[in-house]
Amino acid sequence: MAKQHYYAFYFDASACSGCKACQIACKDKYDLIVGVLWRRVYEVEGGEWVKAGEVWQQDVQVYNVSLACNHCEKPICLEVCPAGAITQRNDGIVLIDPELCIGCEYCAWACPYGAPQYDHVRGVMTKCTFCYDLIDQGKAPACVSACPMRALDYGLKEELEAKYGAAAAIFPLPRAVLTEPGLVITPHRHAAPANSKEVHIANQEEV
Amino acid sequence: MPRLRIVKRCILPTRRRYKLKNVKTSALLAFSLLAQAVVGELRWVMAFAEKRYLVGLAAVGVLLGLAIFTSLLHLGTPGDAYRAVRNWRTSWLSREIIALLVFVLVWAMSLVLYNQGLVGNLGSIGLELLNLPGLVLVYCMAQVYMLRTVPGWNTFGTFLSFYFTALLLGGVVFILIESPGDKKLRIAVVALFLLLILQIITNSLLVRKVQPEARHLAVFQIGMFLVALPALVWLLSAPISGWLYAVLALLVAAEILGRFAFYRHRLREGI
Repeated sequence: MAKQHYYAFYFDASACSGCKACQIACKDKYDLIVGVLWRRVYEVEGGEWVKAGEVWQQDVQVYNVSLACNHCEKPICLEVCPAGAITQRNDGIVLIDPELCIGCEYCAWACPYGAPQYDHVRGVMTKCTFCYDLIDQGKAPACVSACPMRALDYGLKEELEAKYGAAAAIFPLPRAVLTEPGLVITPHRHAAPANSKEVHIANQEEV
Repeated sequence: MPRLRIVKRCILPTRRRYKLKNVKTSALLAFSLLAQAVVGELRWVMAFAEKRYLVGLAAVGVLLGLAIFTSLLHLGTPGDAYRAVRNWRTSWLSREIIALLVFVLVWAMSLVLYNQGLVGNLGSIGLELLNLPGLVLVYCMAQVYMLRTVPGWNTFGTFLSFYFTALLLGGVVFILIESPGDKKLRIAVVALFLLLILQIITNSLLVRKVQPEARHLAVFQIGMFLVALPALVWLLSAPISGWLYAVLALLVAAEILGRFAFYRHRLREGI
């Protein structure tokens, strides 16, 4: 069977300033309630002061990771949803049907990217939709259009990989082999590998 | 008044969300313990009940109803719970619900068989077949946690832990209802303590894969066992008294603590 051509996000961690314009654009477009973030910007930091002779120097590692749903090729959320509320389009976009969702949060347990978010007002799970309404019109998702640093892009995964390379796992992301995310990354020079213990998320209370 | 607006729009919804999350987690914890207790109790009733087997089976029904009610509490839209069986092809949660429904049917059938005095016609193989849906239910419950993205849960220890819980909690309910004779009661209580030891050993094997914060909960569970141990020794050496209920309560508390630690501190890959 021929490989499906799936949409993916591209994220340039070396260009991201952490301004969160992408996060706000998404919240604004979908009028998301307080506490629901379909796109989250993680501030990753690590490092310490190191004595070099008579002086102290720092080896600070800091970078940002803007992350939404990666519309994975092997979406574990779709496998585990008991109500069959999660489906995948032919172009790879994974969607949650709020009419079928029963709000059990099992998909949130399973997803290693924190994509499914519980809407406590409606009692259902929600997540990034890749702005499929804009995609179907040939336009870019709201987050991609909003980024002032042009750190976000979108397209078919193989085209993005040919253009930017194939890196898809830096901290705090998990190994790509788990769900084959539709995500291509240009790592920051400070980027730590997936599952690194040297760095941590500094803004956990925001995401 | 800007500060009041911020409180109303941001902080109050956050507090409501925190309370809601606690209710959902508590409901899930209660369901998992109740459902396993029910499976264990049915096993104890079929294997050892002499006098009050109908009361034991009725207790299974009460706990089953309570388990099903608490399972609805952890859903965002409980009225749509019937949809939970739709994705049985790939979702172990759907299969768990189906197994629960089958267990309910088998329990009802057992009640009829015992009531009509037809259990003796079944033979030992027939009785084991009546217990099979319970084993399948606990297996499905454990499989729900076999997520490749959550290595802290995705271990053989989860299966062992769930089966030990079923036998331990089921045994506690059985002792309370059946009130076995002195000698049989002491043997049953010792068996429950052995199950708790096996449970703690299993959780200790899991703890290596769990976040460090969970270790102090595991130590607390061991501490409760050590407190209960002298009570057990005294219980076995003295006439049975009301202290039996305190010992059983300690066993149940240790189980609740262990399950809380299981849910609260899972090691996952990614975010």
